[in-house]
Order: sequence, then C-alpha cells, then structure tokens
Amino acid sequence: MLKRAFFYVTRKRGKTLILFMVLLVISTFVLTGISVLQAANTSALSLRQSLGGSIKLELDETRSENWSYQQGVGGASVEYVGTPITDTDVAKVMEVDGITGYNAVGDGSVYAMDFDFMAGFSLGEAYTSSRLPSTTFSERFNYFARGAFELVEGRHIIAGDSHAALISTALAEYNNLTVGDTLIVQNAADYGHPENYSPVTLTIIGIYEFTGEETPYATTSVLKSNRIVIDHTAMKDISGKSAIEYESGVDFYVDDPKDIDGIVADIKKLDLDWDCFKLSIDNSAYLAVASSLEAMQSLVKTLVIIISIISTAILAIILTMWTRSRVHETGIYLAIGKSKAVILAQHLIEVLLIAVIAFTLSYFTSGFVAQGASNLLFNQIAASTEPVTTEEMPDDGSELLDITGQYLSYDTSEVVSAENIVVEITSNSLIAVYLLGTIITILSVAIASISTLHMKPKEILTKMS
Amino acid sequence: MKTIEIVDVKYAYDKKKPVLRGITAGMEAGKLYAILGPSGCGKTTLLSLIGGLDEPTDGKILFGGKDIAEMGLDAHRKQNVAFVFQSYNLIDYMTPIENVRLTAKTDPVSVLSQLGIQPDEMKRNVLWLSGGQQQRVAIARALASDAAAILADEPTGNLDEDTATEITEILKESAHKQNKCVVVVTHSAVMAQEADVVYELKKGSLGVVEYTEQLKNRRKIK
Repeated sequence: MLKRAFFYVTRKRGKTLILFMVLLVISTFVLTGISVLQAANTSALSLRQSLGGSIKLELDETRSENWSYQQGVGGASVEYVGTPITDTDVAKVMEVDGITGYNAVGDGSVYAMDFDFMAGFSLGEAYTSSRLPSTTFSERFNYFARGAFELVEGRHIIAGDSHAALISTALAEYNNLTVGDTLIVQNAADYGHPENYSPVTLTIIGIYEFTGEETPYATTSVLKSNRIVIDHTAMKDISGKSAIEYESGVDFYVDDPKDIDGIVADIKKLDLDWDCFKLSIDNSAYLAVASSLEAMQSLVKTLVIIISIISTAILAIILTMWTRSRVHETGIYLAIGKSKAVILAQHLIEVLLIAVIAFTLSYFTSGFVAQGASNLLFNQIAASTEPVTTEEMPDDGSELLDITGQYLSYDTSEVVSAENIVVEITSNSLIAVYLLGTIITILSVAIASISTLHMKPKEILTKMS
Repeated sequence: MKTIEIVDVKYAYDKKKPVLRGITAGMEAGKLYAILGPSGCGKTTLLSLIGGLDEPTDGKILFGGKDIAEMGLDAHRKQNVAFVFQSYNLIDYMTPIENVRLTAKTDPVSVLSQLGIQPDEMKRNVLWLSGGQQQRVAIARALASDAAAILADEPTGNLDEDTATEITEILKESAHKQNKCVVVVTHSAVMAQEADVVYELKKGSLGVVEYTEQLKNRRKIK
C-alpha cells in the first residue's frame, strides 16, 4: 500500500505538484497564524507580567467614625482613630495566591541637618524642609516603577533595610555625597519645634537620576530632586513611633493583572478590619497597552479557525475532483479484491506523503511572511483601537505634592509596538501544524472519498465503462 | 465439484423489469465457458454477480461449494476470482511488472514472459504498450493471482482480429493447461467457437447453446 502510494505520488507529478502547492500555501497560512497567535500570547503575558498590576490596601477615609475631630487653639485637628494597617495585615494578604510582592509607602517631612536641600521657589523665607517617602521595596516605588527615577549607582531598598537612603544625583552633587556616606535628618512635622524629635542618621545605599522635569515654581519640599527615599525603620525613628503604621496604604503586586479581580475577591475573604480598610485596583498600565494585543489575539484566533475551515473545504474540493478522476483505478482495485478501507488508506498516505514535505517547507516560508503579517495586523488593529487613558490626573493640584508617585503616567510608547512582537516559528508551532494539517488532511480525504466509496464495486465499474 | 454454482439467481435494477429471472448453472475447472447474448441482456451483470462485484436480488452463488455472500465479497474477489476487462483496466501509473505484482502469488516476470511481454516492455509504463500487450498484461495479472476462476468481460472487444485470436488462445490454454475455470462474456464468434461450453442469455434466462458448429460459420453473434 505504501509502495503504491509512493508510485502514485512520484509518477503523477503534475497532480502531486498542484496538491503540494495547495498544501504549502495552507500550511504556511496556518503556521503563520499559529506563530503570530503565540507571539501575541507571549507578548501579552510578558507585558502583563512586566507592567503587572497592583491592589492597594488602604484606610477607608470615607468613614467618619474612623476619624476624630478636635478643635484646638489655632484650628481643628483631625486624627485617624481606626485600625492601622500593620505588618500583621500585610502578612495575611501575602498568603493569597497570585500575589508576588508588596510595597508600602510612608510619608514624612524632614530638615537637613548636616547637608542642604536644593532651594526651591519661594516668595519669602524659603522652607528648609522636604517631604520624603519610605518604602519597603524601592524598586516597586511608583517613581522607579514608572521610570521617573532611575537608579544609577548602588542598590535599591529592600524589606529589612534599616536607615538606608536613596538620593538624587542632583542632591549628591549639590552636597558632594556618594554611596556609603551618611546624612542626618530631623522630623519637620512639628513645624518650628524640631527639638521634639531626635536627629536620625541615614546611610546612602543608592543614587538615582530624576529623568523628568521639575514642576515650575516647585518649592524646596516639592522638588523631586530633594526626595530622599528611605526604609520604614528609618521613618519610624524619624516620626518617633513605636510601630510602623502604613498610613498611605500598602500596594500588593500580582503576577498577572488578568487575574486581579479574582485575587481581590480572595483578599476580601481574609480576616481584616473591613470597617477601616478598603481595596482599590491599579491595572491601568496593562489596560493602556493591552487592548491592541487582546484585539490581535482575538483576530488571529478567529483567522486561524477560518483558515482551517476554508483549507479543509478547498482541500476537500480538490481531493474530491482528484478522487473522481480515480474512479477507474478504484474500480480496478476493488475488482482485484482490495477493500475500500485499503484504498482509502492509500489515498490518505499519498496526501500525507506530500503534506509532510509541504508542512516542513512551510517552516521556512512562514519564516519569511510571519513577521510581516504580524506587523501588518498589529498596526491595523492599533490604528483602529481607542487609546486608553493611562492615568486620570487629579484636578486639585495634589499631583504637585504627591510623594507616592501614583499620579505619574506610564510611558507606554516603547512598551508595545508591532516591532516588539517578535514572531518566531517554534518547533511547537510546527508540531501544531503537523497535527492540525493531519486532521485537515484526514477530514478532506474522508469527505472526498465518501461519494466513491459509498458505491458498490459494480456501480464504480459501470461508471468506468 | 463444480467450481462455480449459480443457484436460482435473480437480479433486477427495477422490480418490474428483472434482468435475470432465476438462473441456475454450474461451471467447472479446466473449461472455457462463453456467455453470449444481445447487448443489455444482463451478461455483464451475471459476470459481476459471479465475481462478487454485486449481490443477487435473490438466489445464491457458490464457489467451491461455499456461498460467496457468507464468505465475504471482498475476500471472494481477492482469493477466488480474477477479472479481465474489455478496456484492460491496468493501473496507469505502474509498469506491467507492478500491475501483475498487485495480485501475484507467483513470479510476475515469468508470467509476463509466458504471455509474450518482452523484458524491456515489462519496465515501461503500461500506457506505452499497445492494446494487445495491455490485455496480455491484464491476463497475466489474472493468471498470476492463482485464482481458480478467471472472469473475462469482452476481453477481445477492443483488439484487432489477430490479437483477439491470440488472446482467445491464451484464455483457452489457461483453462485447459492451468486448470482454471474461465468464464468469458463475449460477442465474438471466434471466442464462442473455442469455448467448451457456450451459454446464451436471453430474456433473463440462461440456456446452453448446442449448435457450436454453426457458430463457426458466423463472424459475430448479435
């Protein structure tokens, strides 16, 4: 049977060539589709993982019962009296599946004791203090995560660091400081009475560069170059508190922002004080760039299905014509006692012999067209997809004072573009083509053979005569 | 024992117009049988039923005493019978050797040689051979199969007179020297007059033609 199939394929060269070309075109389309789909999937996954998403556990400021208002001399003071977010709460949330890390940002204000902040805009006597953030993992801190700060020397702050500080290149140059040097700061919260707090010594473990532009008329306190990023232990000492309370909330990072809603649901099941806490989601970075990719994934998936169906139909039509032209041969085989199953198997082997060569060659032909097809598809989709606003800027001017960096926009221009989706023809894609192609071939041969093999041998022989 | 026994076989494409109306006959090994009859009388249908290409509407066909329907028609065609057709019916992408090898139980080269196919012709595509040579290859394929019966449908219909005579002789020798049961559906008087038994199929019934001598004087039976 194998020998007969081989004879047919090698001796009916015209038909073999036509079928080979058809199968090559089909397999090239299918392999290109699968490869582009895989590339889009891989890009989407790595994009989701690189941009990530975060869930913020924060104090619910909307509940008045969590706040105490006291009227004193010189004005009213407001104090949070609800349950604070502590390391115990952080540990509980970290147990939830899908959470890869966390970062908390504290807020304080200090005077420079043995160095100078760069002077900002001032109409009168300049403030000599500056606000400073404390972080658990400085690499996750919004300013670094969104590219406004870039570490150029030393290392980032990690959990467990004590009295570590990151300063800007500008501040380092201004004070002739380098990694390993120390700084002394003192709490400026109780304005005018710094003596209520002890000076705290910080060690510079890293220097960052501020890549943005300073806000016009920024005061000393607002200047980004004056930001000293410190750890929570240092902040605890600066503020004179006995335990770290994460007043600005804690960001929990998820591996895949696609799963973020499920993770939020899991966190809400935890035994936390939900009368005082609330959760908010930030997957804006992913949403900003994902829409084009998701549209592409969906389109390519549909294309692969349509190509497969059309391929089966075209192949079935060609093979039906081919099989009909072989009624004579089929009749002869039946007359000499070959069963219909054996004849069908021979036809199948013939097509598969040609198909194997076509599928293998499609590895190279797809290599030529896949990247171009991917670029074309992505560009067209990107052009027709509505851009997503990356961040809604507050209209109360608070972005000028924001030290968490949460109002910084993501620069997504370099993150995803057609060129960033590198289409590779992998062995897995080729295996998928072999499998899908074999299924298409078997279906096509079966469909093509139904009419002939349904007939009795005598009917076939009558057709012959 | 008869090689082929046809027992009250009926066949109809349309119930109102039966083609075969209860045919009973027996055919032995070592004899050449000719079936005559006008066009459309059902000769080829009868041959198809004997060869297991179709099933009778009623009645049965025994081969070596066994009902071919019970045996399985595919198996019957593979083991018991070999066909020779008017239009040769060779596989057109194969050489004579490869065509004969499709059914061969014996060496294809020696069978082809016995039938006058030259060694260089054996390796050519069959379509490059003359009609007579192609029919010889078809007969070689039948003989090489070792089937007990050869069923030939107008085997000389497309051949010139000399070649037809040669093919008739080969079939006759197949019956007499190789002890095959050869059944030939034919319009050829030459073939009929060489047959050991001549049947005539008329109006759905099969009868033995007794006047073989008279046939010798007729060029063609209509």
